[in-house]
Amino acid sequence: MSSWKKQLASQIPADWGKEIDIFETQIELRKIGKLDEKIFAETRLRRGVYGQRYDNGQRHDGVQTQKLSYPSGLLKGPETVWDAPGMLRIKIPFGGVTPDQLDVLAEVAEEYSNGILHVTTRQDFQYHYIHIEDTPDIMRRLAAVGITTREACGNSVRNLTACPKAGVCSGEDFDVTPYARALTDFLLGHPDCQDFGRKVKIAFSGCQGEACGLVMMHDMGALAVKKTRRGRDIHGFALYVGGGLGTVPYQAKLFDAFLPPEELLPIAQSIARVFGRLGEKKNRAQARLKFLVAKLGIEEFRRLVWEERQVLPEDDRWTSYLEQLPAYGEKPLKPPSTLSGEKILPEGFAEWQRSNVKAQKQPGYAIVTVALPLGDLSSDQTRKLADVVRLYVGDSIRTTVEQNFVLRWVSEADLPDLYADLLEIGLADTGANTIVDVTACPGTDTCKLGISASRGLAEELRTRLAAKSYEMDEAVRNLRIKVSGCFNSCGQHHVADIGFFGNSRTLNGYKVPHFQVILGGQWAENAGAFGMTIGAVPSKRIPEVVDRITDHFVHSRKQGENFCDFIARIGKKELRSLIENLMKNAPSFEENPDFYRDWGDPREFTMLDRGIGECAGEVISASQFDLADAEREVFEAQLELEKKNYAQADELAYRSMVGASRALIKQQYHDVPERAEIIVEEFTLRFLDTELFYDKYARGKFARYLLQRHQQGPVHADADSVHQLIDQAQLFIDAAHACYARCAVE
Amino acid sequence: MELQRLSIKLFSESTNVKPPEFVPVFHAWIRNQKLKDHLMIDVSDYNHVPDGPGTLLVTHEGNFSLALAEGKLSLLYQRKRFLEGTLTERLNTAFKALLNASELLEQEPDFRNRLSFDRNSFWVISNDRLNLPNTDQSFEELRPALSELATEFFGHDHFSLNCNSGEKERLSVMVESSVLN
Repeated sequence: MSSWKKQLASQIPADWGKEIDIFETQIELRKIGKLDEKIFAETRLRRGVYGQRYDNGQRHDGVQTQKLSYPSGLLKGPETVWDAPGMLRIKIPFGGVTPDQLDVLAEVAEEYSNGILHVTTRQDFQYHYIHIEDTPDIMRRLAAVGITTREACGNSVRNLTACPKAGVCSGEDFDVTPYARALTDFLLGHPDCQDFGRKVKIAFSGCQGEACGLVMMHDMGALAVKKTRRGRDIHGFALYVGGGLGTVPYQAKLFDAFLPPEELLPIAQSIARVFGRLGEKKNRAQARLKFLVAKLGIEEFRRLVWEERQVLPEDDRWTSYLEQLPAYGEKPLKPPSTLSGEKILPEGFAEWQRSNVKAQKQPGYAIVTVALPLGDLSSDQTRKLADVVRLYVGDSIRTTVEQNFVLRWVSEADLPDLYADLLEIGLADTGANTIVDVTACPGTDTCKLGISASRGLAEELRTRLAAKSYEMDEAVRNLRIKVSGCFNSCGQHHVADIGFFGNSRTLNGYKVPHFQVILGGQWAENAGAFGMTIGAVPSKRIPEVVDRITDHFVHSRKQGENFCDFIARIGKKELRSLIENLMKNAPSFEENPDFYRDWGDPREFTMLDRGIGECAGEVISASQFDLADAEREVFEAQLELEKKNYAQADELAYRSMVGASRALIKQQYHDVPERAEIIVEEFTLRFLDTELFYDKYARGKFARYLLQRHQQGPVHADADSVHQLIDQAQLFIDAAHACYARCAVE
Repeated sequence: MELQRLSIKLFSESTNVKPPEFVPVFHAWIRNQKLKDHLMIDVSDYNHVPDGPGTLLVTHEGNFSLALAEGKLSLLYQRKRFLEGTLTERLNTAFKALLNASELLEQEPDFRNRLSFDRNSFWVISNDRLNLPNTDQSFEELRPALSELATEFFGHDHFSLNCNSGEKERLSVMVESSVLN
């Protein structure tokens, strides 16, 4: 099969291209059984290649579980079939995307996926139904326009999110965008971020009061703070750590009230090192940073991080970006203007303007939200949206954690024309950031962990609420609904006014999809408080729950009382009594079979389709990754030998042995230098002199292969001697694996 | 020509059948193993997305989708996995899969006398911008295989091939019979 590799070579950054080539080789290694399935699973996750529902090779059809007999018996991870369609997550740092990138994203969606781009609750894009063997080419096409999937999944630093209004919001202290960019670039692939027990999520926010950055529910959250000293504005960050949603949500703790920008990157690195060293690795349910902070206490955690900071090797990148900050800033495409009262406005414009348009801090400009039902848009819409962006704002568009887009720097007089153009491509839905704009994770549609149909419910609620939005009380209109398909909180239900997460109950001998009702979460103040669990209600009765709760709010709230305060005041008992009869009195199956099905799914409900989640990834140590890399290099050496590239084959075989040695040293201390001389010296000291590397029968024989090649330099450039070296390298790597296993046990 | 990823589309004149109606039908197809030469995996509903894939039957070999395109119901077969043979043979295989699905849908009790696909024309789309980009040259390269396919399907050579897809779109060719059935 042909590949985009050659065609795009000049457009892909060299290091990104090399990484993708390596991943392609790892795919080949896995196919021939030379890469362990667990290591491959975490490897692909760290490249954004995720599993999807039914990839364990079975699916319940409503009557019975059917085996999905894929052609290849190969696995791409534990219980994950090679040929099963999967998901690909694409990192969009701080949600910033350009029209040219949108064009390519659209092309990829229609050629390899289902023609749909899905915006996630962390400003990423996701493709579904992707075959793993298509992923290297997809990555190349994205890399050619500056997009990476690296570390989009797995135990790594995930997409760094930020307020989509950064730089144009009237409430912000300053624009966090360049800081978010710098931290993204610094942490991407950083060696100190490769040995985590779980993922790390980071967010930036420009202000305390609004929600956009959601700093308080992140592992690490940086909140812009501006101070004035001697008449000058000084920028810094209130840094929070240890927040997170998941099954049990944690509010982040204040790590530093005013961290100067020059300390932002080194402190983030120090946090990564402390987390890598002390974070839980065995018990996956306790492995997030929030548990480490809670266990140590914020004072001790802070002390350890600052202690780490003192011994960090100096890195120019910590501050080099700061020099470019004064030059940073977006340039509007058009001059500012005001919307003339004389202009004839298109039908529907006023309602759209009310919900989807906000004034920018720069006079004469507006921020426009493009509301995406369920976070989805088609390839065709994406291309046309890219053209709209080019026409009105140049390249200033961002994704949001509410699964929408925002266009920034819209000259106000352009708003009616922009609305008309969006309407033509089906992207002028009103009700952005209101109760109609329901957020949902993928749930049972595509997620292996999903219990209930979060998207099905969200679509049902959106349709019903949109139909009555014109007559809705303003206080209800401004509420937010968020739905997760299970307790893992990808839909961010804890921080919604009205949140739901999927579970199930057995009624009348049948499994029935349910949603747990969570009320009173606080979206404002960066997700400042979590909601209260009220009770589990059958899925098909959830719309009635929404009606009852909102009606009660309208009729019983005190003047000026917001929803959070209202929920706190009336309390769980009264709230539960409101919905209690919906929790009971299920109709019989014969009477109403639809009650036993989920939204948008005609099959009788089952829990049997749940699989093993990949959110937690596999705990693979940095040493194991290095050993796998050594395996890859010796494999590549064989390929070069076949092509008669003897010098390259020799070098790769040698490097594979050095790499395997480095993997072993890394077991003992983390900061292993890159230079071969030092690695061989350390290996000799730590593994030969101590006899740790010794095999019971061969003793130190295999180590001599490394030492000999290291001392003598490249072997003669002929097939036989290179072939011999490759064989020796393979034996050395096998011995390194055995040594790693012995040391790990000890 | 190495084109493997290709799509073929038929339109329907039926106006009283909507894409969401196919969701339970496709679920039943999976349950009853209706398509013998496809490994059917799941059904996806994207009817909330204008100009999206509508109702999607996901299979290992290729996806079938029913959507509204320019107000008309269409059935699309998007081939994903490798096909053996020459380009003409690959096109034939994909086209047969589409025709088979269209006939099965027309025979569904829920759609009987309500659904019919127009077989006087069909669309072939290159779903591969690397091997067959949207250029005049690609169109000319595709022409012989499409003509062969059309001659065999229509039973005569009175047909036209028209390509008018936009610059950023995939190469898309309408094959239309001049003899109405």
